[in-house]
Amino acid sequence: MQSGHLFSSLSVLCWALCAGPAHAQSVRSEPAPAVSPSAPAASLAEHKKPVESTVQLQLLEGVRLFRAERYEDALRVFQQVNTDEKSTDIGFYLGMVLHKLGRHSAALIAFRSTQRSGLREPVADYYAAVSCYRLGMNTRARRGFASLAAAASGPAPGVPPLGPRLQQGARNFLSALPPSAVETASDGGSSSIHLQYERARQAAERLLASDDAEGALEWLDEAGQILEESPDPRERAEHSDELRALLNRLRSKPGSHVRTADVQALEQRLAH
Amino acid sequence: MSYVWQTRLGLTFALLALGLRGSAAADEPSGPLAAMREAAEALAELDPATPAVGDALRLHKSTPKAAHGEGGSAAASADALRAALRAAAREEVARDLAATNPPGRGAGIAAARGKEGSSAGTDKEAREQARGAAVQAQSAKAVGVHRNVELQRGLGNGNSNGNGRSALNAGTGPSK
Repeated sequence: MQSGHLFSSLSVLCWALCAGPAHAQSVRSEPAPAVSPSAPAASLAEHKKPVESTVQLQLLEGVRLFRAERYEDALRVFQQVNTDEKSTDIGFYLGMVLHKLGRHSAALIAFRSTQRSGLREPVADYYAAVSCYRLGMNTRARRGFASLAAAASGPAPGVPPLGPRLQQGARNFLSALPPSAVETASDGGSSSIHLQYERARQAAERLLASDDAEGALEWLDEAGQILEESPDPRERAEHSDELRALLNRLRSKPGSHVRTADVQALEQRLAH
Repeated sequence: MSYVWQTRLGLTFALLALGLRGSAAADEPSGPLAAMREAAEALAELDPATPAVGDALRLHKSTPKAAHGEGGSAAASADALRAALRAAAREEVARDLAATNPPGRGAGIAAARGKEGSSAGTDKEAREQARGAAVQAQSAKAVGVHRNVELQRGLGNGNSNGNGRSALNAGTGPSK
């Protein structure tokens, strides 16, 4: 009797242990549900499941290719997912691959869409900061790495913590970045902020002229963040007007894919 | 079944289940997002001076990209290294082949036989000559590819400042 009880206990333990991963992977192994005509709402929800599982499979395939450093192939897979099914966090995957392919401007655009979708991923923030660094958007890069390094001690609730490897990487990049415009200004180089701002503004204008509105927005963001560091309120106000004019141009660009929310966020920042 | 056997069997099942669960967890970090996070963390650039793979891939076409504000690459890439290794291996094979079959051998034999006024073995000599010429050509090609890769690498190192250098940020980007 006692032995039988022990055996059944062990069986329950086995079942419990096996059930965990099986349930976790159910999204990939679920068969197509039968559609019942009597419950259309429920069937619609049920019908979505195989689509979701297909997307999950495709994403996993893309991740596998990414891990194998086959970035072009991974990009094709993620782009396919983006075309077929608008996955909300596809920007996260696309951004990583585009970054690895050295297409930093496109990577930043993809990461921006990730943020828009509400996904908080410190790894994506790290990659975005590196992309900014590679493009020469030093203010954004510095702020990105500094915020990651600060968050490492106490990440926000619900946000996965940044691993020790990337924490070290953030510190490496921070030490490699040139001193900020404010630091240079305090050393007597008052024109540093102006020069950096002008460079970012000109880059934005150039991209705007070549119909790359999204790329222009990235540089306008950099210009805005440089202005935030300016200690001179007169200069800040003057250049903010310039940036607002450029944002208006960007918004009125025909066929522009720039989201109004992104432009508004930048305008709000300039208003402060 | 005795109590001892039942216990052993039960324990075996439990261990098996634990093992399966552990390996499953190791293979799949619970979905594409977590898997991507893990892979991205493993492949992230930690050193500002280390070339980004994609940047280096674009070494040969950095000028048009620079016009769009994309960062030019800094140094040698995994691909360039792979190409260099391939070229070196090819060169070595060509050298070995050349050592075993000297290129001038066919011509020398042909000349010697020509002197003797013998027309026998002309086909064989021609084959040997062709072979020698092919080896020479392959060797020259391999050396050429190798030098080209070296040249590219040199160019990358020359620009190596650990940061994107482009038409937009030339001269103002972080210097290394």
